[in-house]
Amino acid sequence: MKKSERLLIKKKYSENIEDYIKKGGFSSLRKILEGNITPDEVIEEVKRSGLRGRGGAGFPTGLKWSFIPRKTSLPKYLVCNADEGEPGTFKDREILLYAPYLLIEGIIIASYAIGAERSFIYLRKEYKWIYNKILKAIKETEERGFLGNNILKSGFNHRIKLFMGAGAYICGEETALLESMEGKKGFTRLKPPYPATEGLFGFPTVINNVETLANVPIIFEMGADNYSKIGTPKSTGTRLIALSGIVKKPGVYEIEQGKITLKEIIEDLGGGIKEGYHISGVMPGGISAPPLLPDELDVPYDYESIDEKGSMAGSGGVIVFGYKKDKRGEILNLLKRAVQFFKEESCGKCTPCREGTWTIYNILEKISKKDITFEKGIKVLKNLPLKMKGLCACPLGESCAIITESFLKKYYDELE
Amino acid sequence: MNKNPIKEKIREILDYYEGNKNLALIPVLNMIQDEEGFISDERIKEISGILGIKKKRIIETLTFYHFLKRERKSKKTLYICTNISCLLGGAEKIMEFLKENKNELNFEFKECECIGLCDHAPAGLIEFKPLKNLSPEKIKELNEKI
Repeated sequence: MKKSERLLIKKKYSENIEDYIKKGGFSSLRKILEGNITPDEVIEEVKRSGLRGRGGAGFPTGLKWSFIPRKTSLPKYLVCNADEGEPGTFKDREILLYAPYLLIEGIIIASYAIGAERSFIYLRKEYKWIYNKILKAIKETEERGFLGNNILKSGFNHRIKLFMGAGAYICGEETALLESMEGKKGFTRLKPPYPATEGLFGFPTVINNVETLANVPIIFEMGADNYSKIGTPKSTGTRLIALSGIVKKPGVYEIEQGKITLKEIIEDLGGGIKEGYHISGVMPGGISAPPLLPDELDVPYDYESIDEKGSMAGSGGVIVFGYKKDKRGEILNLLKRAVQFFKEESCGKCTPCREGTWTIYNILEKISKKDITFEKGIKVLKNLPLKMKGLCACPLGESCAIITESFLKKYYDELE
Repeated sequence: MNKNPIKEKIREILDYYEGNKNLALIPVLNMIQDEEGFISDERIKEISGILGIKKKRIIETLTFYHFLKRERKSKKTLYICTNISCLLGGAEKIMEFLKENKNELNFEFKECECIGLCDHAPAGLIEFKPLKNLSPEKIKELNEKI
């Protein structure tokens, strides 16, 4: 397999449903429903493929599905998380725009596996311009008989409903997303109970990212064994990388996991750094991922390799950052803007996050306005993260603390 | 017969979500926000009546989200992303230009978080339609068209 380009998902980009069917679309669903493959067998196959969640956490997908109680008469739900809000991330946008049928097929298969008659796509309001396209794709799929009652005469009934959020990063976190769907503000829930046992309206629910679900039909088309040979043993398959920042060719690229380095992503896919710019570093998985320095980029892009460098592949949003002429102030400005994001998007439920993100922002603001000395500000900032880590219902505040710490460590001289 | 089109639309949304009133709340709020530019106390009362959700709970929900408003806005809103990728792409200059020409604009503008258009930085949204690779010239063009 080549390092990049049209590998798995991009091969399935389709203008319309006919085009998708011509490319083998819905054959995986047929294989499962007409071949009497049981839900348990579907889950086993996905487990064997090694597929991991592409939303950020990288949790094994088959394992997540297996947590849904089997012997219960309660309704079950599947929710497709299309609330892609991590700054620097726009890869799900590509699937929603160019491969909606692949996503829909994945949703139907996943729903069959967990026994859900209803599923939802939670689309962020920022993608309202894609809403009608998805709605149309769902309708066309219904007309073709792949959605509705007794799909392909299998006895399986399923319908997909589209739901749009109203602007809140935190609703990408699965429990906040459920709260939002229940008509509430997006406060994160304490876990346990996990959504698999008590999810949407208290019923067993699986929440999967768009790209994760788009991989599902591909697994059944090529077989889990073949799929698991792509990538590395622990990070199987491909990933859609959203490349942005100071590169010549920003965009969404599909890469084989572990077979291409961050440096190659920037140089070969992104066309290198824009004229007149100097690179300061890279955030390899959205702004919640700690920065890597220019001399740390010779690292293969997969979950484990980037973890080892003290960062994370997270959402697949690779932001290359740097400066044009004057270095002074640039990094402080960037860090301040990143912290501003966490401050704005903290849901406010947990005190360490709500107050911590505000305090970090205020100190950075004071440093940049020279209201306090750099040394004095740093002294306060150094102690703050300790009071924010591991104390909240979700990782938002903690991410803010970690990237602040990381920037202070790696760019101390440039921040001063 | 004097039909209330908003009430009709609320019922359509409720139908789409198979009668689940809590599930229908945010879609209903989105619809009213997009139709009328804000959600008035009068509308909150109507929603409460149809969905059977207490007014204070509706207010609690709607004040949480960035794109739901209780105040009337006479102009359309342009959202400018100023998050990292757009900042690197020159969003600060766009914001400066907007602030300098504030009085001549036919729309309001507001800084926002990442809108998933980082490959077209600096980017924005007008009426929730994407605006890519923004420049002062594009802002001027938009101002004439709107």
